[in-house]
Amino acid sequence: MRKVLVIAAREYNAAVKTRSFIVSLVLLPLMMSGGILAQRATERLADTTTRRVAIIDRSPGEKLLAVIEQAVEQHNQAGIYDKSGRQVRSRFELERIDPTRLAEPSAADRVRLELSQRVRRGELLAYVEIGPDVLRSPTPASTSPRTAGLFGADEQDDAAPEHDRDRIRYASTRITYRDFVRLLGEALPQAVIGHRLAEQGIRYEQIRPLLSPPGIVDRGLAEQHPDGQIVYETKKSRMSAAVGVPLGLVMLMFLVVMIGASPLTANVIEEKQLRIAEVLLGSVRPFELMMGKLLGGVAVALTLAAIYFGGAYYLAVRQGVAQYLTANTILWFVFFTAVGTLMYGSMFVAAGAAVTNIKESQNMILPVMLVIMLPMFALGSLVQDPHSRLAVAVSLFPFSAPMAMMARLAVPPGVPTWQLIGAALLVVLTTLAVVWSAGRIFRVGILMQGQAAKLSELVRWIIRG
Amino acid sequence: MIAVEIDNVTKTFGRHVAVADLCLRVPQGSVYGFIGPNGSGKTTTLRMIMRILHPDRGHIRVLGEEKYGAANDRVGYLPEERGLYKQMRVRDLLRFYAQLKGHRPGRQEIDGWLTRLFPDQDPLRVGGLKIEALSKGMSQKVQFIATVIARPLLVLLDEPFSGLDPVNADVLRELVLDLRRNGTTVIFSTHDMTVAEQLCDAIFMIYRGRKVLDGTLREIQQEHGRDVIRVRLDCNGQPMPRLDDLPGVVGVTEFGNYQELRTAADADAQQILAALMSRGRVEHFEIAHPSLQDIFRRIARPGGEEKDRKAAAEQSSDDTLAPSPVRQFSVSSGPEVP
Repeated sequence: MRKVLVIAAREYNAAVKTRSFIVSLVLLPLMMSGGILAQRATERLADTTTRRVAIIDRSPGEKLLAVIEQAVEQHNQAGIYDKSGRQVRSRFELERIDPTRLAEPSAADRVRLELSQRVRRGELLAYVEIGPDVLRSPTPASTSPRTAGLFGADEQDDAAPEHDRDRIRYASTRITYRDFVRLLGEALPQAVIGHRLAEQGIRYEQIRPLLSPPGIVDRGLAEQHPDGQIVYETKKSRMSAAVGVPLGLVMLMFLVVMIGASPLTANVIEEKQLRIAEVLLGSVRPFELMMGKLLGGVAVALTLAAIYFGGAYYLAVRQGVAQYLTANTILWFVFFTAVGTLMYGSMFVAAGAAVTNIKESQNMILPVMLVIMLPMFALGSLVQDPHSRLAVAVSLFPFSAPMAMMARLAVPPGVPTWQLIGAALLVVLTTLAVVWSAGRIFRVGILMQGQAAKLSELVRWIIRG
Repeated sequence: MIAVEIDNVTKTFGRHVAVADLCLRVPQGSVYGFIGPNGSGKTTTLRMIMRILHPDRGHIRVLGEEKYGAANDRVGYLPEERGLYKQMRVRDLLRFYAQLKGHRPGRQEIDGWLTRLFPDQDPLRVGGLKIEALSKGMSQKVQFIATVIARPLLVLLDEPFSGLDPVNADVLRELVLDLRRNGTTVIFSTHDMTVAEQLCDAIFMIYRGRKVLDGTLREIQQEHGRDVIRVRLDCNGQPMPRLDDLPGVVGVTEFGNYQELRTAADADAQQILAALMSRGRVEHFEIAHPSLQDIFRRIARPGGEEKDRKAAAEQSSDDTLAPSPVRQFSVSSGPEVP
């Protein structure tokens, strides 16, 4: 056992002092916060040039133009700055096109052509044509208000202008830039509906409260105190945390297990190629050597987990979602991470022992990787419905159990105890079997030079030793 | 006291018989040389002594222990290739290898070794270098320290001198002799017969998995008789002709400046000398034992010569050349013949 620890200590030091470990230590939080940083960076780099839009309001009295003008003014005053007062969005300028120029169809086509050319030249962001019948109340048969949403309607733009008399046409070359469309979408429907209601003699302000939908909220369950009083759990359920915590835990486990276990293949190959194995085997038994490596890998994984967990817990406390990280969850996380690293690590060790160089090892690593990735494929449905048959099966299947059970465990209200204990037992037993088999492969393979072992040979090594 | 006892050991890999029915006794405190061509079973034998491999049949006792691993902490092993982690620093590596043998060297002890093996360098600097930054000679020396730092009673060295320059080879040779002075048993394998002749108390040769030679150099040479005559002729400045047509000569090996004649068992050295004198001025004439290199070649040359060796040994057992009045003389100055 003393020699196992000597080897584990060397493996640990060798792994922790490598550049890749330090890089991954720094890189992971960067990647996780990368989304936010990238968003900030793009805002910083955002194009804030003033954009000009031509408006043809063919509705009676050009009432909607006034609405747009007001919305643009509000946008230019308040909507283009971030919290620190720096401009991050474009200012808009409107250009009124006299709707009477479109009275006659052929003249209208020429106006649209002229505006289109200006859009193509970049002088205009877009031109907007508000149909003459937009304000009119639609007949029941034609009530499918097709507005361009955030990403626009994907339908073919085959409609000629005369079919769009009750619509608002937005024409631009920059179809992915939606800021102005959003502005229209916020301002116009309300104005149009308000106008239609006014025509029916209803004041919009009057019925607006009637149109507000009832809210649906997540609340705690009722529980009875010993004194007979019935109270409601006061803690706020937070959907994002309820989903985010299990996802985060499994991603973290996957990451630390990979960093702890996957380098073992290259590590064993190095020892074979440089004949270090022979020197080591002159001092320790093959099984001791392998266990030393595995324990080193587990120590690396747990170190990394501790570092990130500390950070994550701090974040969770600050975000007020620390109640999702119970002591129970953390203990099971440590257990499954350690056993998972042992189990997957011994597969990586065996893969290294079965081959003679890194290139050959690729074929061996692929199936191991697939086994580890298995629960990741099912992760979404595991978290959404942690008690489905699939979820129970995946979390009791020993090779996917560590991560799958972790995911289910972290979703309130947890999993039945028998399943948890059962999974733990199955994982431990399987780990023992895998470590034992890997030990048999390792014992023969570690001294083997020349070429990679065939699958049939590996099976023979396991059975006959 | 016997350090290593090997009794009727056989080891096969698949159908290939690596070692067949091997018996060997290595006395404690001796320097034992393992020789033999590549692939003849040397490394397999060393690995079995190290308990890295297990014999299929037979028994191996190392320092009196037959149980697996029981003696391993007292056995040091230097494999043929480097056997060092490239990314580790010298001092950490030496400490690691010592700890694996249950020895915890202090910093002074490690620096002491470094000072001794790298006398012209700062031990602090060498101790802090990564293995990958070392030259071949340096890493060989580091590996030697790693082998002996836990003060083993038995040291196995697989080709310790290969690839070393003469200066480093001398340093290593001195260390091996030092080990023997301290009573450590040393077994090493080598291709270099000169090194084997110089260093070894006893030599063991394995060929195709079988023991073909075992004993002291003197015993081996005597077993092979005195059937070699080394000759240098001055033929008036002309190159020496091949001398294989002389009476009683059955083989010639040319070495440029001199030739080695292998004689038939019943050959008369006087007749050969007389014949030589008729061809030119004899500058060197020496009746000698075959060198280890000769014996190695006779056994291991393509076609196999084990029978030949046995035949030669039988014929020369009565040593017909012994009473000859001429043993060795050199006439003129000139390059000395080894």
